[in-house]
Amino acid sequence: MNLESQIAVLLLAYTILSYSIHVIARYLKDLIVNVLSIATGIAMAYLCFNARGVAGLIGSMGVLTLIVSLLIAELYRVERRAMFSMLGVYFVGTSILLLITDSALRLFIYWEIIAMVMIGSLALYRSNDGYEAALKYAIICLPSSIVGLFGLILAISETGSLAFPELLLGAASLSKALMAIGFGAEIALFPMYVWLPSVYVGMHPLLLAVEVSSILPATSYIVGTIASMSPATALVISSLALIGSLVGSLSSIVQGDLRKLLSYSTLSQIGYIVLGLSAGTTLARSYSILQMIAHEIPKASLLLISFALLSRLKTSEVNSLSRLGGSYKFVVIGSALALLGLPPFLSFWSELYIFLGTFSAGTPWNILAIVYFTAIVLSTGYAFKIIYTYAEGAAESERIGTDAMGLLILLFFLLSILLSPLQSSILQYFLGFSP
Amino acid sequence: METTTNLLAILSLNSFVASALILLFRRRAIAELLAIASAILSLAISMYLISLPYLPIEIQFLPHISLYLDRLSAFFSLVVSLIGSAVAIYSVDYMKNAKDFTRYYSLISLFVGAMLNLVLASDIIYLLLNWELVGVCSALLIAYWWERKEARRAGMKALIMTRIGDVGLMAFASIALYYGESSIPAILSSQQLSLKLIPFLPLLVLAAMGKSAQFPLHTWLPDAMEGPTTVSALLHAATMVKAGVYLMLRFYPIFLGNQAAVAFLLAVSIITLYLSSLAGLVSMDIKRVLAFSTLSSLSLMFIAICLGEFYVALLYLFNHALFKALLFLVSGRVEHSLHTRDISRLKGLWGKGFKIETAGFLIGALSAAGLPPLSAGIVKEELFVGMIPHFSLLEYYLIAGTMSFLMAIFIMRPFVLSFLGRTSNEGAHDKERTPLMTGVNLFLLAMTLIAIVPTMIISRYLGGSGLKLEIETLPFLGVLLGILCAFFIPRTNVSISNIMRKSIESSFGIDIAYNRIGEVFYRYISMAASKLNSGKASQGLRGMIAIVVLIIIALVVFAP
Repeated sequence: MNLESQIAVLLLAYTILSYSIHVIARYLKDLIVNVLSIATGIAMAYLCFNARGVAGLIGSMGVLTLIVSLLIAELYRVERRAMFSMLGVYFVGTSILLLITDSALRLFIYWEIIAMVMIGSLALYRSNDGYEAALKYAIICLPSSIVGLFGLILAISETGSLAFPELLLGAASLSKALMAIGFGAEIALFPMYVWLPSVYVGMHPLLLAVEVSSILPATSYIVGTIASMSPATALVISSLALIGSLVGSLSSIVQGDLRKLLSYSTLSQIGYIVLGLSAGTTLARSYSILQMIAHEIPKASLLLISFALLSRLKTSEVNSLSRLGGSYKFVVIGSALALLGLPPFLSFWSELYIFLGTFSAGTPWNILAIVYFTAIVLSTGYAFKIIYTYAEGAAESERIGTDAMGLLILLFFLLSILLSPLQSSILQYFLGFSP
Repeated sequence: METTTNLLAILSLNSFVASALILLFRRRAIAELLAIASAILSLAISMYLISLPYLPIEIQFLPHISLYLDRLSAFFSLVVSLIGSAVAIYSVDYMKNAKDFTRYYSLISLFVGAMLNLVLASDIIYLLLNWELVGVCSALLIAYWWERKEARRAGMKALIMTRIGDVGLMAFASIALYYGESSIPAILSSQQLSLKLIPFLPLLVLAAMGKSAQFPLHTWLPDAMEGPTTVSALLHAATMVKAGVYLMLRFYPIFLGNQAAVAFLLAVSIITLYLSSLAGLVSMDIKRVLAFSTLSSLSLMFIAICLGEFYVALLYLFNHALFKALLFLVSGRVEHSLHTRDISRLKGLWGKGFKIETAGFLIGALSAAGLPPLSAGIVKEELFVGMIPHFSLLEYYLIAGTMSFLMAIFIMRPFVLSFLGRTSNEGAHDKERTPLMTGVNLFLLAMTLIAIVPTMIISRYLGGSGLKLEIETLPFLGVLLGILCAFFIPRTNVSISNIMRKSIESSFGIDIAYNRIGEVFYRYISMAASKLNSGKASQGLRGMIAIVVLIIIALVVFAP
């Protein structure tokens, strides 16, 4: 049985067991499903880690974020935890499946499952924000995925093959472009990013942290891979991604809500990842994959922080950040600096080498590399906004000190420092790439 | 040899380890002990390493993470760890009432560690990593009292302005890697590679301008005074601002190959020197005056580098480290007692019992003014001698004369106004015992007085011909005149309006212009970007359709 089958069987078994528990254990279902979800996550991480590859890296980190989110959800008695944890497992599971599948048809099926899980996650708490976000997401991403499907069908008809990504080698530029644009809506490619801020507000932050660690890197990887197969498509997709980066960096500065600020920051970071994947050099591609986790750790940490704000202070305004003290302080400031790509964080390496890898790809990639660099410099604005606003209210009394959630988030966030000196070993182990 | 590499590894890592341990234990005594012990250990190792006869040595830890010890890096390690040790000891008294001492000591150790690794870096990527880390640490330390708006603004400003310069180093490192080499010794020893990189040297100049606060990226340094005085001492004397000078000295073998970069840096340094001297002449904040003095001193070092006076730059850097640490720590002692930095309120400090501080400030100020036979004065004279072949006689006299006069008058002015004169009743000298602060000040005072001895030794160690002990008449007269004029300031009724003072302090509006640019950026550009998203799903859908249509048209038109 190959890895894809193993993960699929595992997910199927998990689904049957979870629904059974839902029906049978009425009072303890939340706890039991949560435990089952963690166990399933660990099993998936074990399988992925041994299989290595991009799926190994993304899958392992996705599971880690899932476990942290589930522990926090259990600690703070988040409502509808059983359903919550199931959606989290589906996020991670389908992301892994997306990354390891070798069939174009199954790729599309997983893609649509992801869309359904996203809509389900947004509608989970039946809030107006959630419904609105689900609607926006559906209106933009579902028709776009049909465009992607159209491109896929064209590619299949041109090559007669279902093997992914091999079929891309023989496909025409049009089919690749349609696939990249159509599927690009899922990664909020400019100008289809309209749904992203709404989703960040509408989705539960703990689930969003899992999404950022699993769906986002997996879909970015697929779009980047499709784009890299055709020079013209690569250029178009990278340019759009970089426009998104610039817009994201600039827009995030004026956001008053932390979750909206983070959504625009994600838009900005997606641009870096897609650029590196599309540039066509091994260096840029490898470090783009590293950037996925380098970005994920601080971003998920800040999303977990936004949950702390919402659960304690019933607000996610950036101004309220300063009410968090203790270990939260370190995470807030550290995450902002990590999003800037400063040392000692993992993102320092990935952002630097994406620049170098793209720059060395020749013209016009060196021009795009300079635009990328500009976006990084502009991102200083929102990172400073977080730090500055946090500091501004520092004199106020009554701050929430270190607690179990704070410690968990801190431990998770420390990975971005601890993994930094291991960056070359990570790439060597998972991708077989020696810098 | 194995012992040496082990010691080099310890020198590189011990401050980082201390920083992490301080965060872990979170006890004041342990934090103080770890910070001091790690700094002194670094000093001891640096002293041992500088005495080694078989330099250079290189060790590799991981890809791109490697150390290189030659005479230049050994010299810098010594300066960093010497000032780092003094600051760590002084901090025990200075920060004894600080609540968040863990953050302070941890960051100080990290700052020293990052600077040590910066000067020891063999790989340009590792240099860049520590370069950025130094910037982050300094911003966090400047904003240490971040409940104060000024401190927050100053920290942010430092990070933004230095980051503009960092772009230069990042781009240069990327280009070096593009050509397939990231080892600094390999870059410098390969003639072929050096020739390829010489056209890109202006990028290094940009990086140095940002870190060493040269015009027009100089406005963050005076504002950085909002941090604790110990941080200012460290930042000005040994770390951060010296990183830019180090960068130029490290790439000195190829730097002079790009005459455009040399001319540009020379012009920038001369402008910075005059702007900072004028600003120092009107500023009423004693620490800001010291900051302006640092700007002018850094300019002198860059001028020396541009004129090919490598050893003079290094020797001046050493002397500057001593007298600037002395000036800051003496001022810190005064501020610690009287809780003000305002020159107009600090009157007659000698009469109030600040005897050691008065002596310390006087010696520090005379050194900064460049008065021989103090070591800094002799080195400065050496620089003036070096200037002669590069300028016409008129230019030389104009530059050297005004430079000497301005640098002397503006640094002596706060001494005359604050330390001499009648004692005011305001702010009586408290009787708090601060033996460590006083001890460190006495040590630095003694070191500044006898600095000529280590300066001579260092000169020979670095391969220089030793100091010539020549005195140029006009610059010397300029210094004397500046000092003399400073003593007459209290007797004159010359005063300027606050608007004029602010204008000169902000380098004739440059700082205000930066703020305006920031506001415009925030109000208009960011807002406009934000408004691109109407929030309507139809916008995204229309965008997708438009791109698909455009791609189809493009493919139809451009298809072969």
